[in-house]
Amino acid sequence: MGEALDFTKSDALTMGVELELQIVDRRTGDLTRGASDLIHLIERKPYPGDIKPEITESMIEISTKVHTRFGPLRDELRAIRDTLLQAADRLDLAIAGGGAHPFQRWHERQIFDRPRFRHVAGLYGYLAKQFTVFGQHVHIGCTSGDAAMPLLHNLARYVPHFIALAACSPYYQGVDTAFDCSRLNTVFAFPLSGRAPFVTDWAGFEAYFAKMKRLGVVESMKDFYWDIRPKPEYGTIEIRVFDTPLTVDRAAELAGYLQAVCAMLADTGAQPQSEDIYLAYSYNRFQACRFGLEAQLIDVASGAAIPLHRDVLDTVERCRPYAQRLESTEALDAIEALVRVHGNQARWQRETYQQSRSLAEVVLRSASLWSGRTP
Amino acid sequence: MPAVPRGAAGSFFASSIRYDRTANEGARIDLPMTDSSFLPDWPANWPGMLSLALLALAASVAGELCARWRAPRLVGYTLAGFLFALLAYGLAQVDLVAIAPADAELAIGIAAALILFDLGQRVSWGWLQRNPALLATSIAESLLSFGAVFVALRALGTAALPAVMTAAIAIATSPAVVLAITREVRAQGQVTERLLLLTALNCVYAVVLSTLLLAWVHVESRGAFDTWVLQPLYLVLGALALAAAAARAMLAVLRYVGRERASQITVVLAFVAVVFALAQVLRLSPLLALLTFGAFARAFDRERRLMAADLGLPAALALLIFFALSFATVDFALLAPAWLPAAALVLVRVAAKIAASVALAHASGLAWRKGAWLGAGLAPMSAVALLLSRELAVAYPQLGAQVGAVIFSSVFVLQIGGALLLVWALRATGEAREA
Repeated sequence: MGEALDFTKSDALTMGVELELQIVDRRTGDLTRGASDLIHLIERKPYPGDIKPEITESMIEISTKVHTRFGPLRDELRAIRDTLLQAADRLDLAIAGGGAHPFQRWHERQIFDRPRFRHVAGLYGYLAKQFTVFGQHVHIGCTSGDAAMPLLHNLARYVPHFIALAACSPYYQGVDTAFDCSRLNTVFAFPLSGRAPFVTDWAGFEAYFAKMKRLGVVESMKDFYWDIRPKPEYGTIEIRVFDTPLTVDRAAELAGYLQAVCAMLADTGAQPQSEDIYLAYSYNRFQACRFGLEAQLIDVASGAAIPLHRDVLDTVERCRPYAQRLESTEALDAIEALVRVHGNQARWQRETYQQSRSLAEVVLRSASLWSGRTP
Repeated sequence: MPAVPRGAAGSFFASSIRYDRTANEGARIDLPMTDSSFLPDWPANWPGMLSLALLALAASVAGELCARWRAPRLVGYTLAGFLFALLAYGLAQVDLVAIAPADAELAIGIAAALILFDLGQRVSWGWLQRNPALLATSIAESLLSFGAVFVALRALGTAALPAVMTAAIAIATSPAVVLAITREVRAQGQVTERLLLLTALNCVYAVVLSTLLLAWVHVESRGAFDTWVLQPLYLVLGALALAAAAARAMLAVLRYVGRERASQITVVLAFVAVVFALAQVLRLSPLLALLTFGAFARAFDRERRLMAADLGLPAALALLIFFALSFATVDFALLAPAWLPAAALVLVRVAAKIAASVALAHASGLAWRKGAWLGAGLAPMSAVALLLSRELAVAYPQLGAQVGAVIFSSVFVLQIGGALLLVWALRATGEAREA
């Protein structure tokens, strides 16, 4: 029944980062067309990482190679950023992070001219264009499918952390959504969003996939828009709940934090026993999207409500020994400073708007933040 | 017979037949006061504004008809204006539909002022610094089209002086056509942005170059060296100074107004009107003043105070009036004699702009195919060219008539033909975003 999904073996705790970025008009701060011109220019010379078009002409995706350490990952992200900026400068474009563009009108987006994207646009109609949101995806290497599935379910508890720490899409379609992360609300609209089914070994997952395929619900793994999904051809699980941060350094720090959590889980995490771990999943996820670091999480095991920021700080402490081994203490320090001092980048965007009274200004200032050229 | 306008550089555009409205008044029969004196006179004494309003109505209907056929609306506006002119020509004797030149000039002047400002504020100095090959493209396409037009006209037997003047004027791409088309198809992308930038720049070159050439003609023909050095200096530097001062003042006002788009638009429109009026009073080139006013407003705006990036409805209205009027007061006597040199001008000019743009496409970071479309997009010609030939005609009626005839016929082709070519370019490069 159905072909097997072979899970490529990769080294545990390796990681790779993909960032979906906004292409912005330097004058108006609006999204603008530019992906194919940027790529045309970049491809003339060898360049670091990978730079690809995404579903619309105003989005570009960068991805790193596979890394084992936080430092080199951050360096590669910086190198890719600088390559991209060099090209963008010559085309008078700006590049910005952020989970959503604050004021673009989605019906004005043009779908990138490639068969796969045309297919997606045809299937999902307005959802495809509304889906002009920008996420960071982090891949974590797993030695086997049987190792991947338990990790996937054990990570579910930390998904609200990742959402709240990365959240930077408070503005959408020109209004303050009151959410720190409005982007995931857009993802919810897709029929196959949410979480993976509760199967804890690879054979079980293959059986599930075969059934879904036979039913005609999906054609490939690409059709699942889950928060965390296995990526058998890379031998990874892919965490997809991060908004694209406003800086590449933050993107690397979030990946470093995720890697340390995974290391801790691999060491201490028991096999997930029951689907009950998902009882409060949607609730906690909503809390994190809506309130960011101020969210109240429900801990299913104890039944207690815990402030999210408290829970992150506890987790950071528990992860420190693993981070030391992975040489990512710097990343954990940054996460701790984010929680204790700076707040997430949704807060930065709201403060910038308060100061400038202009969403265009929020975009243009976040573009200069992303360039790393101004303090 | 070129009509004589009121000010040397004071009016934007005045290729108008001067209907002598007072001449008809003597023809009216003086009726004694009777019971029917509350009735209007016959032939009716039409207020000029009524003709203007009717023209605007006709133009908007024609524009929508064009849109239905996926042709740019400005083609409809222009043709409506042209038909209006034909009608006026035919009915001139009864003085029914003629638009008073004063009404036309004011309306078209304000409209053009807005269009030039809108274009000027899109000029990004930073971009030229970051991508020097773009500046090279601008200079190359201007120089090459200047040279090519000059050689072609000389080859066809045009005298050197009118040939060089015509070539200078033909450097300019039409800001109105470029803005109207890019707005209408909601164009976005490299070709669009570069087109707007190159257009703003080549208009500035054309104005400065033709002003300098005019001064040179003065020196040659009259030998009054000092006056004719001072005059172009005054025209150019004065316009720049006015623009810079106005840009500073506007940004200062905007500090208090804030970044709300709706409140900014009023301020911006008022400043455009002020600069236009001052340029006329000071006898400076309004064209140069408004283009550079927009460019300075953007360049000085380090805190990004100026948010009204798109003037929206006011600009759309300005464009409609502009195109409808551009041929509504046409002088048909000018159209006939210069078809051959005009055709040569059109061909070599388009070819030169494409060649320069293709040659520098790679260096400036563009695929050569897009470079070709960019060059083709620079084809439109319109009011800037007409204005410059008018300025010439004021000082040198005979030279002005020679240059004006060629320019006028070329504009006649390249306002509509250039617009169609531009739409084609934007569609071919995928930058048009029509529904």
